[in-house]
Amino acid sequence: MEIFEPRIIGFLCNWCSYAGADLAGTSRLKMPPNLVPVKVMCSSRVDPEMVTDAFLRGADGVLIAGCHPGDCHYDKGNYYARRRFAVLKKVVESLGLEAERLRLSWISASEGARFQQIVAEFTETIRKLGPNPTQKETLL
Amino acid sequence: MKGAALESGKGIKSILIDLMTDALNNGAVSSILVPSTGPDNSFPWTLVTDVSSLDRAEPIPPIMSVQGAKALASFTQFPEEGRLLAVMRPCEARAAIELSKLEQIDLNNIILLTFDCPGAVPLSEFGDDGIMKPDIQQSETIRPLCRQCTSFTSEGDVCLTCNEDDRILVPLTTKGQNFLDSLGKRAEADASAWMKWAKDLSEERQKIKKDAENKLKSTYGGLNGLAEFFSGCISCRNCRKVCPICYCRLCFIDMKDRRSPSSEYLEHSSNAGAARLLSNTLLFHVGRMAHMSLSCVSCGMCEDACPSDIPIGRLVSMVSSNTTDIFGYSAGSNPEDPLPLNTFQLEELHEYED
Repeated sequence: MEIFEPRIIGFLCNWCSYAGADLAGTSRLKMPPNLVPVKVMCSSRVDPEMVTDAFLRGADGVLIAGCHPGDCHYDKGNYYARRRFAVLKKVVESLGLEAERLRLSWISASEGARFQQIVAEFTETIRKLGPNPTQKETLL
Repeated sequence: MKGAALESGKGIKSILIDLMTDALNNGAVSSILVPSTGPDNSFPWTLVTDVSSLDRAEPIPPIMSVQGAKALASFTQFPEEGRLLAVMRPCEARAAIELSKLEQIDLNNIILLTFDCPGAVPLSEFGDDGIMKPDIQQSETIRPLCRQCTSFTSEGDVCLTCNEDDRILVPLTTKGQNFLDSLGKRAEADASAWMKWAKDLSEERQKIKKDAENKLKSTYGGLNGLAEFFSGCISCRNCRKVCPICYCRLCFIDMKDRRSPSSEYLEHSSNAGAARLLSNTLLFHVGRMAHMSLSCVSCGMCEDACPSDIPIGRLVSMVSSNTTDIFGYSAGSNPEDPLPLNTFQLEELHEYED
């Protein structure tokens, strides 16, 4: 049997979470190689359509990561990101799709270990959920 | 609630025409936006400045041709010295309020006049021959979304209420009150009988809505069910085109760089056995709901415009009740409530983050 390796898209904000990911790397922390990072300037730059697109095109999980509330480089971008994310999650949930494949986490530039932990944990969650059914769906 | 008593027992249309005539004649407003009768049973919106043109006014047409808020959003700021009275259905007034929050309409010199809406007949069932008149008591003639509408009255600045023989003009905002003053009418009549009627009907509709939503939910389930729900979609984007809330000049789905190399579709095809082209049907609908569902007023224009008879309006409306619930928001009800995505609280939504 083929082993399922989840493909996870991670939208990481330039100022905190991407730097956190970088720190995890330079600190040589071991973590599953399943997350493909996409650098964005702010978590609020992530339009719900970008997440939906990744999700419908077969990403097994989508992570949005930004600065902790109160720490946003642009002051309040992450508060807006949180509201947008809540709306998207509710839409996905209302349509009977798997909202648990979407995650919003706050990771600061100094939290390399937290980045490692979140990636490991989310990869495990997705592994349990199995492959995204969009991959087998003809009528997308 | 109190309002100005108008001629009791008179037809709603005649009362509205009298009101518009009065308002133009005594200078309370300088122009009126109202649907008029056109050839072949059409009801285009018209900007009326001359009382004699009110002969053709049809303030409550049996169908919804263009969403009234779209008509209001078709021009920029209204002149400082003029005043416009927009006579429209409650859902149109609510869309106008949403569009003003989205900075697409300047409501400064505009008075929104609504009435107890009887609903609208589906466009597809409205022919040139037998005119179907909507009847608030006979729900099977009106559109499914109108049957479950709970905001069928008292929206905008001022509302004409009609309970049995009572005809009462109820001011809802300061602007509405000023309008009554300028007509020389005083809000002294008691409108509690109408309020009770509206409350009862609203509760009844709430039940119909819940039942209809449960029925709708059973028509799709999971990804496969949703894909089948939209399988008839011909990607005409009519739903977006007629939606008052979808005002963007460029929609994300129309961006040219959205095309992917064929290898991506081939990969999908080899996984699924076959892959649908165009490949972005679900993306369009889910993305659109993520973008506009907070401001959806459930007017049903999208469903009316769908050539494939997909109950899209009922789906968006259901999703919209869920998303607006997160923030306790009601689209178009209160001009003072900020758009949920334009504001935030420091401590909230912790169940969505970690």
